[in-house]
Amino acid sequence: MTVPESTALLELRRSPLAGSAFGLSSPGLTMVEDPFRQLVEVRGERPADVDRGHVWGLGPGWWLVDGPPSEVVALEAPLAPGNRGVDVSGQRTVVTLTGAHALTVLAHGCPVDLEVVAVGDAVQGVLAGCQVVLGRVADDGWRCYVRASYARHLAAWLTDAATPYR
Amino acid sequence: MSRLPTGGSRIDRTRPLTVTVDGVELTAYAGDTLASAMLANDLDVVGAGIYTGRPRGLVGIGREEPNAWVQVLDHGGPGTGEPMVQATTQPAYDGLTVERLAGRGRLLPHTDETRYDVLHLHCEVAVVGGGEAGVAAARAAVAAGEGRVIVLDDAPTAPVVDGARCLPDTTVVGAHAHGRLVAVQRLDSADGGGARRLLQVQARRVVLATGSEERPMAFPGNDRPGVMLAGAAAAYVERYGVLPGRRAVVWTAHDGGHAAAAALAEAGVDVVAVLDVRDGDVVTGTDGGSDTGRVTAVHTTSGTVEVDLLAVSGAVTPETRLWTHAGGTTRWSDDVAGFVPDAPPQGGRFSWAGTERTAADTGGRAPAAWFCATDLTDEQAAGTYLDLHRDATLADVRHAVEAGLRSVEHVKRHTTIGTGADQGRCSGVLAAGVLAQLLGEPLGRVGATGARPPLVPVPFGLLAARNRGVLSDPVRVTPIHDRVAHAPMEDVGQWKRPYAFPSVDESLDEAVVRECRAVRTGVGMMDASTLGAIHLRGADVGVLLDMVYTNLFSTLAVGKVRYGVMCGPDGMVVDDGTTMRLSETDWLMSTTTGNAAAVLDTLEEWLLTEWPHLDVVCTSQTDHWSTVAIAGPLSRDVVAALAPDEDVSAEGFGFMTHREAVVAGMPARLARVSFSGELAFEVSVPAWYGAALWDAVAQAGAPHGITPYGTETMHVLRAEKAFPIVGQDTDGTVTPADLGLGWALSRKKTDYVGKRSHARPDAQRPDRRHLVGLAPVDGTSLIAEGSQLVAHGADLSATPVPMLGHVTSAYAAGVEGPFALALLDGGRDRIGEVLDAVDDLVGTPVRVTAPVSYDPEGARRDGA
Repeated sequence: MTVPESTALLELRRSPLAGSAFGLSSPGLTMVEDPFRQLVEVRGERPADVDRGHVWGLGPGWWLVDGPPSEVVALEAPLAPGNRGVDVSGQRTVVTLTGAHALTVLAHGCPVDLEVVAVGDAVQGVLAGCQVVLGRVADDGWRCYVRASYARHLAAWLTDAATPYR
Repeated sequence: MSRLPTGGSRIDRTRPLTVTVDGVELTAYAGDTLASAMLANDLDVVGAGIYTGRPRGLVGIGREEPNAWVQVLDHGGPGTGEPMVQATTQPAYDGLTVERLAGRGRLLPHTDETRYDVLHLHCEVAVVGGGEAGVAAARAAVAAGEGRVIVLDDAPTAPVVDGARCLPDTTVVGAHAHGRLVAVQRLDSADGGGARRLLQVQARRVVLATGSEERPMAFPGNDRPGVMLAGAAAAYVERYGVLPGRRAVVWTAHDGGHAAAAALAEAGVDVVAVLDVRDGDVVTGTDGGSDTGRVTAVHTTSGTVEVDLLAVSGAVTPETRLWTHAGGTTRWSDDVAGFVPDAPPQGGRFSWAGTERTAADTGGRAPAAWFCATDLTDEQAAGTYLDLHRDATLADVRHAVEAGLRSVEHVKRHTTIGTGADQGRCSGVLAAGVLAQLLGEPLGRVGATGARPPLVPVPFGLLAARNRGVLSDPVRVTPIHDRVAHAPMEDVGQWKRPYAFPSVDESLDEAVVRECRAVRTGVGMMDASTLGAIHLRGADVGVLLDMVYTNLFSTLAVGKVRYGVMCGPDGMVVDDGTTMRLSETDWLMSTTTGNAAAVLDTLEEWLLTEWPHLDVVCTSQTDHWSTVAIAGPLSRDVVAALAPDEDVSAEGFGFMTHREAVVAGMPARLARVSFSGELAFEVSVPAWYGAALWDAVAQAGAPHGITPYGTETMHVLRAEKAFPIVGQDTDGTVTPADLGLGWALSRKKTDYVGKRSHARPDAQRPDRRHLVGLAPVDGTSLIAEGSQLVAHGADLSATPVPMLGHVTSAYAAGVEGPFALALLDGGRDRIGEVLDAVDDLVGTPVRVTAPVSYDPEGARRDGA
């Protein structure tokens, strides 16, 4: 089922962190929500790279495709032939963390060894009690995918954990 | 003042500061500990015996200190404070305010506002201890290119090791399997405030270079201020430039005591005698002053000397506590007169690095394993303190042995020796040695008591760190939450769900009655976004579902929905829910709110372990969908207004069917399912449209008086239809047949999870507990959830009262008044009987009814 994209439709959307005043911009740390991404879980071969997006490996033959907000709002995202994808766009929102302190802020709550995660790789783990996918986009840049229902808790926790780095 | 004009390797004389002890200001320097500040200011009495109240002085310089435990009133920051802090490990800083204690601290009367946090660290090599052995181990690890090397050192200044990360002020408090260390790092030693960080360290390899500790010897009158460990006394001079006394006698059982005596003499202490156990010299008693009780004279086997310091050293032995935390063993060594590391912890991650030199290495005399004289009178024994922290004496150990105790662990618990916050560093081996003497057994056989984490006291606030208050546990909210947040909330797992929507002049119970009536007679709406959703795709999904559900699913047509019951291999109900078939290969399963993750795990486990050949992929879609349930005889009118392009008539949109649809301009899935027995629809949209969907339903329903309802109304409505809630009406001992869901047990399928168990005679007993309904005999009394069911008129004072079952769900707001669901022995054969539902020893007469108490014919399913 697809519904033609329209301004009216876009205005109906509300991101999990809308209205929560989440966000931080300081010299060593920037945190911001990157909402309404097109997210698709794929099983099988690695999907092709996505323009303005990311393909994260979650496990053997298991991928999370993160694309820009789509031109068409669809229940089932179009995928390369042979791949099996399930639309999970509404399931998670994305929080980006950038800066010299980004990894440390995550390490305050995430028991996974993040230092060994290469740029372009992702890990699944628990951050502050929330299941997350952490994708490394740069030495000092991370994309944190958090379930929509947990997003406010995680945002409050990140804001608190970032206190020494403001 | 006992501060020397020069010296003190740890203090910065350019930075004076003031600490306050019991209202008295003491001057000190940056780098001092609270204990060295006390000593420098001639504070002879640093605490009192917990039971005797006797004045006690400083004994040690580090974690072995038994007496100098204080209550920190203020760490120099607002809302700070801490009970039971060891003065020898507490940095002195401006504003530190403490009270001395008699062995027992007090909980803070206010919230602990000290800044605490947690940091996870990972490394290839963790070295515990920054001394000579630790530095050597770290350098070797760096040179070998082992990767990340971390040195954890509890000294205020960490060593510098090129290529390694050295953390000062960091005390490892626990060493655990697989190279896991837990450490406490002080962030406050310079400026105060008490801030600390809990480090969770995961290391591929751990080197324990924890150094050594000094233990005393016991003798009558050994608890006077002025009796110190000899090595500690000398170290106060070296580290802090403080003289622990003016005129001293040193008593030792090993060569190290002589070195300490020399250091004290060099610093200007008048060392009048150095007595050695190995030469037959033994301290037999002390005299003390009338004010603080400080030592004035020491009686020995070779005469009496007048001194103000008695420096004692029984032995210096490896600090093996972390070694034993991790599972390493120790053995008695005559070479050091102490316990030393023996077999390493299993797993190969831990190793020991020590620079201990035995007498054989240095060409000196072998130490003597001396603990306490054996020929003391009962009176002398009662004044010979083995554990100053616990006020326990030689007499107590004698009593324990006379009572028949032989194990060192039993004697520990009988006497409390070694159970204090100091972990018995000065007392544990002493007591074991005395026990060995009394039993006439070698100390190696008596053994030492075990040490358990944490190595030193850790504030509870630090363990909680930032995860306090609203951050203590995640709160999950749906996309609709802000629309319903004004309602009283019910915690459902981590979710917040509206319990009911009372108006300003309405009680909660009244609101539930109104909401129930609205759904039964008009239309209601509720946020059902918390339900678990699992997308299943593949050619074999039907095969999987036929196995995990008790009933048949592979025959389900595209566009249809089916209710299913899931059992464990033991045949007991673990979950239920509806599954819809989206296409030939795509299915969407819904689970109960609290079970979404567990059901997904179960599916994955069966697929990975038993049926890897099946073509099925499971993807969690919980959180992806936001769902609004629209229930009641008028729901069709509301859905028709929301989705004008859809035929929602009884014929055009049958019960247990679903379809994709445009609802209020949004892409949606519409399903006709009912959890109330009424005509009902569920509308699901991607989560970010959830709030807009809620608004649209409210708007479209307004002309029909649509009523938002909460979890309690949902429960009442489902209970009247006897739809069970897994985990409330079931408890892991209930089969589908017990719930009256025998129809869902497929006879056609050759197998499903739980089928074999359902065939067991026990699963078919006629007197199993069945789900039944209950109604109060008087029609009005409330039945309490959890009540026990007993025979009507049973004598509640008799024991035991035979229990026939219990109430699993109870509600006041049924159509016919109060009612309940219960599990009752042979319940289906008792319908019509009267029983007593007992709560708090009061029995309420109840009549057993069929479980379905409303519309048993199902006539309302398609609308009134």
